[in-house]
Amino acid sequence: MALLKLEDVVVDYGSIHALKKINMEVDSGEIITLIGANGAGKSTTMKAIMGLVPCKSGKITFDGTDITNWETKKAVQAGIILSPEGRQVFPRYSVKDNLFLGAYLRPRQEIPESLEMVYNLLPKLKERENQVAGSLSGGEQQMLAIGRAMMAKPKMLLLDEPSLGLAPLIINEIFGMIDEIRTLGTTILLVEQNARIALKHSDRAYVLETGNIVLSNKAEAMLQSDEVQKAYFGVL
Amino acid sequence: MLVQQIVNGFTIGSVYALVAIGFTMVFGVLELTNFSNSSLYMFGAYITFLFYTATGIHFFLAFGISIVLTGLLGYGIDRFALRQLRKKKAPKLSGLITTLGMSMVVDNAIMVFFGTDSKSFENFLDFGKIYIGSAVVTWTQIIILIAACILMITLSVITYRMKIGKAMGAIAQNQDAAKLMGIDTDKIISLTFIISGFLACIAGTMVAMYYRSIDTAMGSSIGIKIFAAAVLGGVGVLPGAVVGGLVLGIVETIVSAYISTGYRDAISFSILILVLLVMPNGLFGKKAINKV
Amino acid sequence: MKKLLALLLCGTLSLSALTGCGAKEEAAEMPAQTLEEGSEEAEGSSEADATGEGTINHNGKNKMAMFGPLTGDNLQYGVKIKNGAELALNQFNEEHGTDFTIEFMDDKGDPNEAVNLANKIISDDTVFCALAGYGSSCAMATAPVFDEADMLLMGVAASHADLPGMGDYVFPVPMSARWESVGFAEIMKECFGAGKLAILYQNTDHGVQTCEFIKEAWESYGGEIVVYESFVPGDTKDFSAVLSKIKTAEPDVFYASAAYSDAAQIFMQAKQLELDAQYVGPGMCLNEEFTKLIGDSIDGTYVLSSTPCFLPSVLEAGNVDEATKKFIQDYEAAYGESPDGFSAQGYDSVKIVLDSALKAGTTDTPAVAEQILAIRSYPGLSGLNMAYNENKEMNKGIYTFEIKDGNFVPVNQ
Repeated sequence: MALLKLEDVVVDYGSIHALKKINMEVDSGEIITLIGANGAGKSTTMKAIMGLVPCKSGKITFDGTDITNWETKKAVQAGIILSPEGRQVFPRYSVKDNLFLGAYLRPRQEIPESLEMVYNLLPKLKERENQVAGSLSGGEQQMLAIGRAMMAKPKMLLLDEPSLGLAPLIINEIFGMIDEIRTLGTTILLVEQNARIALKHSDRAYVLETGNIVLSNKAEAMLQSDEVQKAYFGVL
Repeated sequence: MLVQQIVNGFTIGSVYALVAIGFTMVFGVLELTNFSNSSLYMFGAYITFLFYTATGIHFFLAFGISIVLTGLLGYGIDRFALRQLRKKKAPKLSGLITTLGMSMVVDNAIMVFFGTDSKSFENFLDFGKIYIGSAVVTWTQIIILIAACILMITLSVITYRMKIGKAMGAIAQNQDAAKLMGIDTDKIISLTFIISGFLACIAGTMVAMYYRSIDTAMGSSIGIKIFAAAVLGGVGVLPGAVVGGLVLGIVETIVSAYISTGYRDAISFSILILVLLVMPNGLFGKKAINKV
Repeated sequence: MKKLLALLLCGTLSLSALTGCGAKEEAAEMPAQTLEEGSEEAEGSSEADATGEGTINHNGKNKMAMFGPLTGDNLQYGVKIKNGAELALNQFNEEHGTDFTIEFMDDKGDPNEAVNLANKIISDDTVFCALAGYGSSCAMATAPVFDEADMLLMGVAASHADLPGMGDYVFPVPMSARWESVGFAEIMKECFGAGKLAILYQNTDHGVQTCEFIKEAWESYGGEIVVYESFVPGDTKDFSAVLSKIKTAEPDVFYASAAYSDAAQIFMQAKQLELDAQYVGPGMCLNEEFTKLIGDSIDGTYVLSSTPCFLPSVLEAGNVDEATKKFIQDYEAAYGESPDGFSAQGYDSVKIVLDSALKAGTTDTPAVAEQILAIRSYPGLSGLNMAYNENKEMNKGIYTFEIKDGNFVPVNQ
């Protein structure tokens, strides 16, 4: 049984057809990547799942429940957490306060445990606990965004472009963490322009091209594919 | 005379502070200049007046009803106008003009319904006066100052200690990200407007009692002062609104007494401009860190 | 579709700009209805038989045009003036069987709007006289227009000393600010001695002018002006700062020139601050709203006015003439409230014009103006022994009142 399923999902921005009947599936425990060029509709897919943009038609199911066009708050309560494109931490708040906000809907007693888990996962955050988020480096902000998302104890974590604007060394670090997160029991759906590294760390992948899913395969296979190589590995 | 002037300045400053708090909260959360705030202030006073004089009910009951209704009006302005604009991702200017329009609608409705002449308003806080040296301080003034302090402290506790305050700050910094935390942004924004309405009504009614009268110009005459007080203190920062209000009240009074009554506003605002030239973010404002 | 909507919106907006509509349109709707009713009433009485004692050859020029604030902050004054004018018109037409009419227009208290209306008025051939309703600014703004057109202009509530000089046919109805101020200063001197006087005045043409004259007169009596401060009206209700200043100066007499709502605040706050002095207020306070605002908190305050007070307390005190009693009765019957000085001035302005037209036998401006100028000891409702001097300034007596138990009681000299 798929944990997350998108069936014929259509999203329009006014007269622009951003997603034209896409179909995707993520099974529990998987790491799935959605790759594609700029403007292909990757972020739109994430936003549609989270209820930040409306679906014109189609169905999104999570854990057996129809969550199409659900209010963001409900999606979060159901256990789907998004770490958005561009990190979007709360710049005036400290690292700690940002993390606490991630746990906004959780009961108070459970928070210390989550905080410890996040600090174990991302020790750099502990170091900079009281630092104002706006003054962190790009990589640290990405870690914070992920940590904040983990504070919500997600069943499924959506990561939108975690490598954007980061140096290769940091990117590796981040993807290492993504592996670790899987071992903690969280399913992950990943959106990336940096196809190579994403595919290296995923089980399966989808390729999105101007609103259409054009390819769906095991990540291994895609890495070897000439087609994909030509089209997407230039974008490193 | 100086003591007297300071007492008077504090009184008028407390009123400014009360209304400025609501104004600055809305700005803090939404980056929206809420022009309708001063209209709610007048609305609150008039509704209290209406319920008290039209029905025979106890004054404080009328006051309570008015607080609720004013809060409701604040809620209404957000829910039925501003929220729709937010949904459509309209530019900030649309929201600003909407609040301006709402302000005119409320003001004019009051003028049409009640007439433009001043109405006499009974002072239920008249418990006499005390003397500090040669200065006369009425209990009404003392109560107004205390009420402003209590409300300020309560709101500060809410916004700086409680979770909901953190949520407001999150919405202020990034509305979409706040939603991703599971925060019900619409609900919290509505709450901000309701609180604004409560505060405006309390201030308006207390002022009505202090001056024993209400008139249809009271909203517009205080509007610019509130804006100035909030900006002076650092717009969006709660203690800033309080300090800004008090400072403005005292500066105004001192200028009026020692320099000129006729040029009072011109000079007060010049001082405000000077302060802002030195501290552009206001007394308590912080420079935004925008490295994200 | 969107474009069509946008075009429609632009069209509507341009139209409303052309017709000079302001943001207070909503408020304008309501009084506009009574406006129509008023002129209809006036027109209705033109159906009466034209068999009166004196005859007036008006050749169709039988309309007067009055403009005043029927919306906006001062609508209460505009309405009172209009009511007085309407009453005078109806009573005159009934008494003499004439068919005069009056058109009421809304200048919103804005001199620019008043000038717009003035231009409309002079192009109407049936109008022989214009009346500027409230205040001096609208009257003075429109005076050049009417002077150019050689049309009679009555300034119903315009006391600015410069008004009479603005045209050969421009007449103020209230007392000239100059003579009124001198009169006030004289009475204050008579009652309280020429000692230390503190003056707080509103920063309007009227306030500035009247207090300048009072100051001049007071100093000529050897008195001392200890505080002379202005304030911006409608801007604030808090006068504590300047009142504390006045308190420190220890005046014998404290005169405030302000509209009644501000005057109420000023005196009440002065009492709160325990400012010990003889308070004196202007005629603008002589109304019910003022008494409601002050309650019995400022008893002992004197109020001076060149127009009488029509409140019940004055009636009770006796020595009110029959004409005034009748006026109060008629006004209350027609409008459900007591008249005040403004209503009386509205009444008198119309009556003066019509009485003069009757004497002249025509509505031609020069003839009517001649008769107006010749007025001496006119039995007007808005003053004692009304007369015009050679400069077209109105001269009358001053009424003195003291506030006792929250009511105005006449003080006999």
